[in-house]
Amino acid sequence: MNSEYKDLTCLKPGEEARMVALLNHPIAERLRDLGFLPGTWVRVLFEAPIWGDPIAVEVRGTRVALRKSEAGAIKVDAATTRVFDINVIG
Amino acid sequence: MVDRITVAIAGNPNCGKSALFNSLTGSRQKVANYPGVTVEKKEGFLKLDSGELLRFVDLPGSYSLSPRSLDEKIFADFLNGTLGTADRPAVIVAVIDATCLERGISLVLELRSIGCPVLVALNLMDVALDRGIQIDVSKLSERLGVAVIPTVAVQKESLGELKEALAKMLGDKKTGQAPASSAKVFSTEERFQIAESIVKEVVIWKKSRRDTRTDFLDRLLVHPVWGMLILFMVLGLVFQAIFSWAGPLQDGIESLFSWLGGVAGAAIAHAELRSLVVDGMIQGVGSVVVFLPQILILFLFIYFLEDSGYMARAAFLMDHWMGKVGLHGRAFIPLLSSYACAIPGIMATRTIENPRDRLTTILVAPLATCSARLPVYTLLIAAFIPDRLVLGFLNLKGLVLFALYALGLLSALLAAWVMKKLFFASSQAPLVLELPSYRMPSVRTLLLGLLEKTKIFLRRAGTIILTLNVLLWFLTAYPKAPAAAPETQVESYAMQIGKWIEPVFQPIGFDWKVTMALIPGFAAREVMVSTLATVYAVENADADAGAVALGERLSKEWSLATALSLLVWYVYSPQCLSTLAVTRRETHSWKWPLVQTAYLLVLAYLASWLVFHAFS
Repeated sequence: MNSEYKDLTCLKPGEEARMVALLNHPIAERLRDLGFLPGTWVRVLFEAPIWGDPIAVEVRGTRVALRKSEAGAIKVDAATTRVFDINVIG
Repeated sequence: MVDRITVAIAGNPNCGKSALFNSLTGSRQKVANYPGVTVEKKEGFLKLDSGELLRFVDLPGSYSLSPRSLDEKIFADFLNGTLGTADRPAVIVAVIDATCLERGISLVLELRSIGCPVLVALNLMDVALDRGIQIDVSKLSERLGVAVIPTVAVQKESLGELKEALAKMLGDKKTGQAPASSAKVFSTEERFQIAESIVKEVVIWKKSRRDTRTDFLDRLLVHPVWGMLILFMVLGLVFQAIFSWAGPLQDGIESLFSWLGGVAGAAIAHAELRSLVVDGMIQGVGSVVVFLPQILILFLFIYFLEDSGYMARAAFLMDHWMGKVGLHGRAFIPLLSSYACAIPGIMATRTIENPRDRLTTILVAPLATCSARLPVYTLLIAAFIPDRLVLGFLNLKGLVLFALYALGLLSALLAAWVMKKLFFASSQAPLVLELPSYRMPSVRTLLLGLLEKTKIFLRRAGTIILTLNVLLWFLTAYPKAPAAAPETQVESYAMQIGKWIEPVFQPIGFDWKVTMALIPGFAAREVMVSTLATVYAVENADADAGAVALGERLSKEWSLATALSLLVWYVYSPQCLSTLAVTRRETHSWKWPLVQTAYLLVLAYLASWLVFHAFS
């Protein structure tokens, strides 16, 4: 597997990257239904205060809150990381 | 009777589906249960101009036909016609959010493959317009192969087109002109691919696509400092509202029922019948209705917070903390509400999706120190705790009160943790929580929701509470002295029971007078004070002077150990019939209220025993 493929949690609030895979995880199906599919752009919007867990991400126009443990199931191509043009929260 | 035609209303969560349902059916709604499960079935009726009587079923919001949760399973089963004995719906109205088209189209592609005629309601058109999203509806309809009607659900008037389209579809069906339902079944990936390409063809973005209002509000409401502050302020407001707004309303209701009792009493000559009606039934009904202000106020807030989109953010902020005891972020508000009163708190657990989390929250809610405990706490603390300062500035009385609250809170958290670990799968239920766009809730939806809650509470919980109240009245009022010798001392059944169970309670310091007071005290916690007054023959215990007199009397008759034991007993003991009734209603069986009562009694006994022996 390409070493550039990292967990979604490697992204900071304000960054987005292209998804490459969805790992086997109890919530994988639910994520797929929401549109988390290989090739999709996923953005990290913000983190919860204090603990930084859960995080809010955006996919295909939908905002979804995920725990970091759940976000770990989403693999992105870190090489495609870029900042998206909206003020970061926090 | 005209045959009712079933129309299913399906769609993603948060797409305005329920508002559409409300606009179509108004108050002609009925809430029941799907057979054998605790998912609610919402049905409503509408008569079309063409004469057909439609039965709309508002299905649980779902992301796909593959069931990930109980709600989604009901959704899929209903549409496939495999739920109970119901047939498949005649038509499916697929409600999709015009601002979230990809997901909506993906669902429609899936629904098409079921074999029912599908009609798409392209909802939230006003919001889309606001955001500069322009959709070529006829092209969309062509690409999807189904009729697409743009709608603004909250505007009843805009639904004329939808009703016409429905009438036409049903007409076509009757004459056998329904389109061939052999749509191919796609995988999730394929569906989204197709949806993406359709959206590219059909949508023109006139402004930047972002929902800047939601972005802005989230910057504030999820901010590390401001977000938490605002959350606590909102919660404080809810609490304050329940305590200070509900109070006068509740007093009003009590006065009303007292007046009713007076009127009825004057009108009934027969002494026993009078007592039954006034002390048993009117009093019983009053004790049910008195909860309505608290329920309605809490739910007004809950519906507003939920429909506006803020509730999801609150769950987001509190999820990590709730996770420490194994619960989901959504359990926070119901648990906190129970500090005012567990009845609306337990009813509010409806927002917790995971059934085991929901059950755990319901079971521990009575441990939150509700407002009804205060009269007993204040009475006993005033009478038994000396006026002393601890560490030079802390009032001992205040400290004891605080300690009782803290004990309740810690017990609730510990109980939740234990239950999740031992019985309900210790891992936290998955989050994957959609954060919907912020929206102004519709007043009509709010009011209809409150009406529904009122009906549910009065009908289901009310009958149980009333029955048990009448039973308790009977136990305390009978047997009576024989008419020939009215002065003879007669022990009521309640007194007899009190004396009979006294040996069980002696180890924790309660004599028969206390145990007897516990019996009507099981109806409602605050009743304990007036019952104690009766038993100790103190007049006017409700008035301040009376309370002081009762306190003085108790301080002479009881030891400190007994008083503390009773205080701690009160932290745990399930002395609230209404909680029992609501638990029964929300869990749809008697098993869980019994479990709740049993474990709370055990905890109460153990805690009381420890305290009594520590202080005697």
